[in-house]
Amino acid sequence: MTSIVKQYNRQLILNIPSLHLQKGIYWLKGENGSGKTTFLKMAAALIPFKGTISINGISQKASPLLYRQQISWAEAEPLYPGFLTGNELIALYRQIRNVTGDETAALIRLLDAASYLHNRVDTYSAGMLKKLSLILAFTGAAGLILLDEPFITLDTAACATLEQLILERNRKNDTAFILSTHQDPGEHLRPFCKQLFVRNKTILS
Amino acid sequence: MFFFVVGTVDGAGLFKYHYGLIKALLSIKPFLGAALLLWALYARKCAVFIAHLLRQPHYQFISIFRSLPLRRQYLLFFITDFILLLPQTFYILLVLTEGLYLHLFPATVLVLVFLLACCVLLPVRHVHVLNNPEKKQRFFSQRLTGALPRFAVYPQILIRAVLRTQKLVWLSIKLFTGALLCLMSMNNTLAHDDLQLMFLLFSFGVLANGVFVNHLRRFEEQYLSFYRSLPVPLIRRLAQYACFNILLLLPEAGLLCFLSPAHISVENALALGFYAFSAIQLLISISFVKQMAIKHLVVVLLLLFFGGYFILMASGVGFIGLLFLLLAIILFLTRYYRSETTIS
Repeated sequence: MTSIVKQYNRQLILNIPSLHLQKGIYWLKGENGSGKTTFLKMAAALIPFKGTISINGISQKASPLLYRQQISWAEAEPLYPGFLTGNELIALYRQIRNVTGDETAALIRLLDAASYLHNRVDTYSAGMLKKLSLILAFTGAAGLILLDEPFITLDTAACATLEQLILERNRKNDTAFILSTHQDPGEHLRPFCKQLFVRNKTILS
Repeated sequence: MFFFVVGTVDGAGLFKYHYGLIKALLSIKPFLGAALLLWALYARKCAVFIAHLLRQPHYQFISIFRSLPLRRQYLLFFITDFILLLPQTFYILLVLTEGLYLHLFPATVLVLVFLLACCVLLPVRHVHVLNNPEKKQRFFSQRLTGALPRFAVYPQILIRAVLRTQKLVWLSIKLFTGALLCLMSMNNTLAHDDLQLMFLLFSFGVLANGVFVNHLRRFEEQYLSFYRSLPVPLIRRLAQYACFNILLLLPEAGLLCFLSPAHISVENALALGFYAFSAIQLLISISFVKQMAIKHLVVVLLLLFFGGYFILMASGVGFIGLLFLLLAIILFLTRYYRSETTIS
């Protein structure tokens, strides 16, 4: 990241002169309202900003398509059209990311979501929505997965599953992660996490 | 209420007026079609009203009626629906009586079939809803999503959002635009098409879609914001909005095909159709510059309305369509990734 400046209504939110991250798992910490979600959204190519963000040399602004092929994102409080089913959303992601049914089926089994994905999203609880958003985020072969508060609303078993899933992806596929969470990421994941802090409107490692 | 509120029209008495109205309704097929459509919408509204109530927590006690035999459930709902449809039924009975008196049997039979269908089918639907509270009617199944080409899935989601949240607005705009187009082109007795006036009123209807597009974009920003981070080429995104645009304008396109070449020249029909498409495409692109509050949107719509008309005085409708489309493409390609949800 180079010369990143993000403002909302002329109020400075983040100012990151330079930030270079190696591949790995990062735990992003900061107070409420410090700009963690804004940082993740900029990296996820969801909101505009001044400056440059690149992954493996591919710039988000110069090569928007190639950049988006490398990233994946799950937001803290996911919202989807209520009339869609989970399966329809997964089918949409599969089509765009060229993923087979077997890969997503494995994710669905792992997160124990098979029993409700055929129902409409407006019937889901918060935890079910979170699981769906995680399935969508892990669909495909993204090099960087950005997870905003991934553990909230998940039950204990699902949190443990998520921990293992992150470690496995990082180990097998060399996938990098940036997690923004107020909760402890778990005893298995914590030792592998490098910490990033959002402080004074910038990111410190 | 309609019957008594209308009162006297141009010196005619209440009954004389409705006698004439019903005679025209039974004699003119498009008029009969429009009336049947309005009655169907009213019946549907009543049906949805009851179905919605049955699903509310306050009315869960009604599930006790499931212990009754189906015939009894049907009878109860028949009485309920009959009362709800009473105003419509009363008027339809007048229509049937006059139809028999005037020997307009084909139209009368059609109206009778419609009335019987409403009376018989609505209670069936409500009995089904009472006994199957968890099932909701779906018009698009998962199989449809899977079967659609990759390109068409997102426009399909947008159209479904329209059908769920904005169908009455969409229908009102279509009826307005269609009625204007029909009445102006069919009553045009000039040697050449009076395109300027037709364009003026047609563009008013087309640009009215702007309010609807604005609402849809807000829906997108709230529920489909994830789509921006997905690896979809920008040109494909533009084409998906164009596909959605075409689906929205199908009624106008169909009507223009129907009216040409008898009432409007093929050239003008194509130009108007192209203008409608490019105007809405431009509105979609403008929504990526900045999401606007209603009052600012109205200003933009008025600017486009008058701008289009002034350009028409210097050149043709085709040129306006081309200009709008070019602006739409440029705006979209430059602004899509730079847009952000902050209301002006």
